[in-house]
Amino acid sequence: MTARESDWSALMCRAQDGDGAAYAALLGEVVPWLRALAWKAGTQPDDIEDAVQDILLTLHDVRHTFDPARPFAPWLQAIARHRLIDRLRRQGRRQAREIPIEEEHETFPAPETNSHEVAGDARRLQAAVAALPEGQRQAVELLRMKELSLKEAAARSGQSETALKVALHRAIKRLRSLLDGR
Amino acid sequence: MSQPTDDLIARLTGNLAPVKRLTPPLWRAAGLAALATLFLTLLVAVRGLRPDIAIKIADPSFLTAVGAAWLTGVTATMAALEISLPDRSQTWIWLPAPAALLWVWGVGWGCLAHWVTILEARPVEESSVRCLTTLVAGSIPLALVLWKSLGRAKPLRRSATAWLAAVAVAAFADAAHLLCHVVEATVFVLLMNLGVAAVSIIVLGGIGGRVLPRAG
Repeated sequence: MTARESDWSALMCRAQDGDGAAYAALLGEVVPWLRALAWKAGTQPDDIEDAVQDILLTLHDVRHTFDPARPFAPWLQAIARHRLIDRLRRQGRRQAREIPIEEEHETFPAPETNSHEVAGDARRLQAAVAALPEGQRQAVELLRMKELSLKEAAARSGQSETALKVALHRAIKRLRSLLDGR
Repeated sequence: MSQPTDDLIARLTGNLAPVKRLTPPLWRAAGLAALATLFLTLLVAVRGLRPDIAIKIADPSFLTAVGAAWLTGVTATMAALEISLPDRSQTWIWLPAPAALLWVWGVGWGCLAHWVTILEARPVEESSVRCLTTLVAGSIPLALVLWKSLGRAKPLRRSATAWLAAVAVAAFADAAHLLCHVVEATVFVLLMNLGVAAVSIIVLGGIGGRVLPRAG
């Protein structure tokens, strides 16, 4: 048992005896560890915090099952693994029977909710970029879309920094004229 | 740390009440096995031993069947209590397997060895209701006690826990049944001992998983 695990076991024992401060310290310490476990288990980034909270609730509910004679980390890891597997199963079942609502399915009356128009603009912009001469297209992709620095873009494209600046300036002018003409 | 997780920790740790730690599972299993044995002894005393017990006691397959049924009950109880805890190995589920195989073999071999005498025996209908009532009277109280004990752990592996508990209940009840009743037709012996045990396991295991409290 590592020193950290030994500390966790001691904190958990005190938590079982009703020491709220020890329990808060323990939960605070295990949260980053649980986030890492959730991430390794393939939980989506925007779902990790929910997964961690789910594990904490279960830990709280079964805290009387912790045996101080046994190490804390495997106990917590087992709880986390069960909960993460449950979540992945639920997610799988949901994905199997539900169809996500795409932007084109939304028909709300307010103009700002009809976001498919934005998607349409994006498609037009992509088409316009694709129609640019090679040098200009590369400048837009590297400097604007991938947001590389001039130095990085120059290294990657083999063009000088000045040539890239000029190409970008011309590309933007050309795109404006193409898109404004709609 | 994100705000909702902080809030949750504050909520969980505020006014924290002490909890009573669970007794180690093997101690609880020993207690439950003793209780089950006592209860089954009482059940056998109330029902009375089978009339041919003097002959049966000399039959190795009968002794094997009774002993193995009881041992299946004990080991399945141990396995269910272990599996009900989060950090115990999944391999505990195999603990009752050797005794269960011996139990099935003992009942099956008894049928095969006495095939001829069984065929000449009296009709079985007269005892079938009593047999069933013994099995039910043995199963229900044991199931309630076992489920109550398992529920305290709020098992995360609820299905595996419930199935093992169902095996334990069916095996204990069949041990009492074997001691109480003379079932004379081969198919009926299998039906009464293993068939009813299988039905008990399916019913108790299926329902039991849903009845056990859920954690989190």
